[in-house]
Amino acid sequence: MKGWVPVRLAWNPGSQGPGLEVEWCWMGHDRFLHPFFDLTIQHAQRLPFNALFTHRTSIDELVAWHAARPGIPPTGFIFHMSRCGSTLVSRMLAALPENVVISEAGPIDYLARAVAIPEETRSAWLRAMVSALGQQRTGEETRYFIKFDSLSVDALPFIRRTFPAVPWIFLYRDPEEVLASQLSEPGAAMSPGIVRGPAVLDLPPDETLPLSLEEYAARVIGTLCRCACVSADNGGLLINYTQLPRAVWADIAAHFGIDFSSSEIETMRSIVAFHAKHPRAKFAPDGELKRIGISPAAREAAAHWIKPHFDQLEKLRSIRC
Amino acid sequence: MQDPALMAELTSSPAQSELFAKVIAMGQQRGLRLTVSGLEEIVRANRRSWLERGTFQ
Repeated sequence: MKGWVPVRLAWNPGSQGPGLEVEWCWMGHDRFLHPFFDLTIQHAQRLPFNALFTHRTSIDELVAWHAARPGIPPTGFIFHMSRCGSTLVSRMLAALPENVVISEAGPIDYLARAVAIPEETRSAWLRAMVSALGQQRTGEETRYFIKFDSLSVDALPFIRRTFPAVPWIFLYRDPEEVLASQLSEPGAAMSPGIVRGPAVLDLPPDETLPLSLEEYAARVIGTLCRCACVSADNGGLLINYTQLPRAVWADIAAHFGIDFSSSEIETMRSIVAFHAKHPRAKFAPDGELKRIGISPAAREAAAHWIKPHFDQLEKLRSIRC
Repeated sequence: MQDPALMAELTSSPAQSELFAKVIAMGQQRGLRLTVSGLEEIVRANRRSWLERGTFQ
């Protein structure tokens, strides 16, 4: 399976084995350089070979491959409250050829949050998925980072039990700035009923649908921060957006056990000048604009539903500094 | 898929027409009758399947 990467999971009760199938995509030696896993896969899917040939296996084959080729052990995990600099961190890390960086891969986040699967099985499958995506691509890679979807912070205790030795960070940012961003360009989890799960307000539809968009989004974001607070003393490092980008080669590097060279730091710094999610555009600080432009309803929602957890994160961070 | 030389040959095609020509020629060597229209239908079916089978998030 060298050169192949697992890109999707699908339940197929009629198949052999446990019923969960893995769809694979040929990437050869190509690296994960786009801001998100899905963008890299979309790019790979344009290869005529991938358009013509599909490859699907039982998840048992993924587990067997894990045993045969364990890949690079994870160096660090990145969790976040969304819209808080996590993509900047992952792109800075991905700028170094020594690093494999997987950013919000659907199959990883699905297994992290699929609570209906018995834990022992889910752990084995998650380890196999993480290992399959953590294979060397060019031969230069020695470190491996995974940025989870923001909702997966709810699965942190499970992820810690599955990977107890892997350090993690949680990134967060001023509540008004995050909420303003989510209201301007909402992620799927910010609309009632689109994504369900314990971290996303497991309230029945008749209780969530009447909520304003401001309140719903603020409650989701606040819940993510609360999840991080609960797990913070379990191998985690809390990073405020204001600490970026320096924290990447300072606090985060130390927490992950890395000592970046000055040339590596220079390479990572070159990423900062560009927008993390739209790398062809120059980056311009927008925090103040976001705070000024936020509506009174959003400001109130941020203060009520996010700020208390943000303050708790800041308190926990200050204790550790 | 287990043959590295075959994989290298197939994955190196930058254009669909070139890949189809290779696949048809390789098929003939193995006694298979493949056509461009048949391969185009496979590509269409794969695209449809890709769109229909979403990830679980």
